[in-house]
Amino acid sequence: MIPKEFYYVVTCDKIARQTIAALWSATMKAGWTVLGDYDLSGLTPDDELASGVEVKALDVCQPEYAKPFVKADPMTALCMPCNVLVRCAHGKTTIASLKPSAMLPGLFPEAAGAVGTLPGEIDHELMAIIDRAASA
Amino acid sequence: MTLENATYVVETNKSFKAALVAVRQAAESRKWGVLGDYDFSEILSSKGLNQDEQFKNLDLCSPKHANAIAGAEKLAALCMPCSVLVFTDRGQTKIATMQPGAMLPQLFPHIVEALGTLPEEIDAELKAIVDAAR
Repeated sequence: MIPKEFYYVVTCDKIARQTIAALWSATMKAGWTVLGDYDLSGLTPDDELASGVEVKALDVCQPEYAKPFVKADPMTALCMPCNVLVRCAHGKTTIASLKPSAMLPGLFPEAAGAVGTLPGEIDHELMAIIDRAASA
Repeated sequence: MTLENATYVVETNKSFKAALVAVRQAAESRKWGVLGDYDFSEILSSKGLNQDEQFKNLDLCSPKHANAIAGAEKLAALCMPCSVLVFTDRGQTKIATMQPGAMLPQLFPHIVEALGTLPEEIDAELKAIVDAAR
């Protein structure tokens, strides 16, 4: 059983390329930036790769949100940028992201205390980006 | 969630740039790939958020280890690639890394048994990279 408080997952029926394009669009509309992406398909088992499974990660960032964290503790940059994972397998696509509000207090309790409700606000915006991309 | 041992940080007498070069060399000599990097001091400054300190993440990956973990739990790819951070802190250069062995059991407890000692091995390899680069 996966402890779901740590991440957010939605499904959609787009192919991987459409999903990535929708995520780019939703990210930019939200005022966030796409810093880069990785194609992780090569990490899937050979049989999945042969059947066309695609796994891509999109690195997104809102610098105005990142700044208070690195000011409070430079080590918080280890958790940056936010990673949005897209997995397309057998006609079903999932979009997932870790929730900063669940991760940061455990990793950097002092920094989490210094930034107040910001991790929760980031969760909210990140989930909205994912929802908008899934429904586009 | 308690993640007290989920990060590892060392100080080095190297300059910021020399430390970045050393991390790349230490990773590649241990068969880890450097997939990319993000310079957060540049990214923040580009938005008018000027920084007194420098921060740069190097994204490292051992495909053999990543394949084993992603095979056990597909969502574990959310934690990939591994991040090594080189940063300055009031004139002191530091190198830090996350420790997947401390994080994975809490995020994905159902795959702990299947992975055996692999998370600890990854932690040890990342620590070795950081220690060699310092």
